[in-house]
Amino acid sequence: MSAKSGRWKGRWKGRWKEHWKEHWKGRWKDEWKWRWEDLNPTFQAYLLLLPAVSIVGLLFGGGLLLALGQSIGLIGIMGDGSLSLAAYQQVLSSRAFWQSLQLSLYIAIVATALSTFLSIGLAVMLQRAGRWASFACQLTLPIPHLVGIAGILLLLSPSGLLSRVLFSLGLIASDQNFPLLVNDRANLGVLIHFVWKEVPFITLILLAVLRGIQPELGMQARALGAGPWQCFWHVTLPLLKPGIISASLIVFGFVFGSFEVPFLLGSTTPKTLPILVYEAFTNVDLNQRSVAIALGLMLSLISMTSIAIYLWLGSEKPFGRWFGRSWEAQNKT
Amino acid sequence: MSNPEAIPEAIPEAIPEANREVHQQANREAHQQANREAHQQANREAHQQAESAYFSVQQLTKCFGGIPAVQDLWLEAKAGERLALLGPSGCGKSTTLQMISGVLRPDTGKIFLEGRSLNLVPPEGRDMALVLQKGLLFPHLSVGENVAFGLKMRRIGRAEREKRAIAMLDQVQLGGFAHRRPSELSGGQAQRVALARALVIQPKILLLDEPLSALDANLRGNMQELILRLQEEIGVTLLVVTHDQEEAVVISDRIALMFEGRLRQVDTPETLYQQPADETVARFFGGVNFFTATAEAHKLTLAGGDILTTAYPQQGAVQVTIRPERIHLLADQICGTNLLPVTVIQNRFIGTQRHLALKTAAGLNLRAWVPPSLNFAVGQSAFAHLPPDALWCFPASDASVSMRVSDLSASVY
Repeated sequence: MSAKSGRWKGRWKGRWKEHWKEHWKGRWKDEWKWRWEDLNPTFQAYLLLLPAVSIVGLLFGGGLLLALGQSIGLIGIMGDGSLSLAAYQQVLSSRAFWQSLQLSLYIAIVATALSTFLSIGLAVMLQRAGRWASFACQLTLPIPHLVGIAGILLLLSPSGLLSRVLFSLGLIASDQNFPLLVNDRANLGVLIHFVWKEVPFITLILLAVLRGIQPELGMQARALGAGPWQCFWHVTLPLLKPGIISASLIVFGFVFGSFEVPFLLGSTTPKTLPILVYEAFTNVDLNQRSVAIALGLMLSLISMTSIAIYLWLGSEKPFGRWFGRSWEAQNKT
Repeated sequence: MSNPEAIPEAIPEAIPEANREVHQQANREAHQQANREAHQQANREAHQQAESAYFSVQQLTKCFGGIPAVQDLWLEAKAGERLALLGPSGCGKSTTLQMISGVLRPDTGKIFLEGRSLNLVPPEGRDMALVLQKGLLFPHLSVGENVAFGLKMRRIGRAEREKRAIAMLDQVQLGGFAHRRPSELSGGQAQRVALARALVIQPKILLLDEPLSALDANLRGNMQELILRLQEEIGVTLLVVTHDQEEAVVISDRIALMFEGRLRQVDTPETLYQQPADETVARFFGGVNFFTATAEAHKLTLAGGDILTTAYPQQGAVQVTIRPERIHLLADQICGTNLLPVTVIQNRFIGTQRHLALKTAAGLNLRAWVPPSLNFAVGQSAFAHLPPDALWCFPASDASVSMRVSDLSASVY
């Protein structure tokens, strides 16, 4: 019996060792890979994003934090190291800030809306055109804003080319009669510049989206009883919506924060927010520095908020799934 | 050997190409002639039946960049009829359908529906519904919104259109799918939604463009059943475009066969199978047996000297065809007429049938599809019975070409 069990024990010992060896064979090598594959794909994506995000976070987020510290007096040359919201108070109580905010929003909204509408029309018309259409669209894209501004000044200012041509044709009595299109109160020059610059950009994006839409969908809509206008409204436009949203979002963000265009072409009395920031920042009075930073932070905050609102409005069914709900209700009954 | 006999021996070596061209030319001209006659007849009929025909297409022509896609097409359909437009890909059948639906403008020709000319009517005013390949649902709309699309375009109130859309979805066995997105559907489901979307607007004509070609075989059978059932329930006139002859045969009352932008034959599926207008039609429907003969009324004298009887009288040189499934193979000589002694040279079992290649004593190659229980060994002698009503012949306008083709195909098998 004991001999028997001893033999069994010995055999078991050997088998156990074998098993142990087999168990750990190649495990160390594969373990990391195995763990990585076991991760949730969403988490994997975040992990892969980490290097890029940390650089942006450090530079941009760190900068923002530093700015925040300066604006509330915790860090900085003039501050005494104690917390104070004086800069924000000063900004929010000044009439100039609210006027500037209004003007900035007005320019950004009108310029974005105008260029988006024009671009949709242009893209739909250019859809069937060949490659030359895209090329023609791209033509103005590499021109710097400053060059565009100079061109608009040369063309549209009271002593500009257009004014002189009209004068020499006898259509206006003097350059004083030429409508003010530059540095005017309505900021027409700024709007004209942004439309000129952004229409090709949005059109380019929309053309790419349009070319990705199956042409049979339009045919199908027509054959189901949609007129040409209904076909555009109910099929083309909804399918174009993601492109429209992302393109106009980029334009809105850019126009809202743009400095040089309203600085050179815009109205002089209410200034846009970026100009206000610039003037406060370059003011000889160093006390204005914290005000400038507070202004800049508010500008960023407003910009981000409006983008969030915009995305929400542009998302599928922002006010609840009204139509979808009615379908579900009917399904239940 | 005298000289006059030596010369003809040399010539066939030199001119087969030229010969073929001449034959093809003759072939083409014959078809054009046949076409013209058919059209003249159709024209006369059109004048007589201008009011009686529910739907008609006259002289429809469309060119793309100077290349004709559809030429001089005449077609008629009765109310509630199921008509298939059949042809190989690129024959212009989809172009025809698009012109009928109105999304494509014909170069010339007229389209009538219930006696009303549709030429100046835009697609949305034609009372037709088109179902394209793969369903093609609107990706930005839910299934319910997709089905209700046509009703929305007709400005029907939301409650009404949702009610009708959901009822229609129930009819295609997709009740409860209204809130789903098109991306969540399988191919067959998407196709059924497309069908519901087309039928919910109660069109006068339902146009289907290759509706089932993207589905697998099982699903295709179910969809065919569904289409036929819905068509019977609703009574809509159906016009199906397909390249699949089996599908056309199952779905339609009549088939309009198209080749290279022209109509070749418009007939019932049975007629197209048993009595094709020419060899191309026969081959398209799976015909494999072709041989030349000289006809004197019901008597056919084959090249090898065999004599057969046909139920269809003809005169002169003819091309004879018989469906492979109509050939009976007998072990013994039971009856006397139309019996050819043959040798089995190939035997292929395909599950539901057995495909046999036969060779007659005179060297004629035949293919017979027999029940799988009839097992003949390769090399075995037997008797092939060709029933007189299965022997169909048409004038041998392209005899030599087809002989060569059939010889080729025989050597391939």
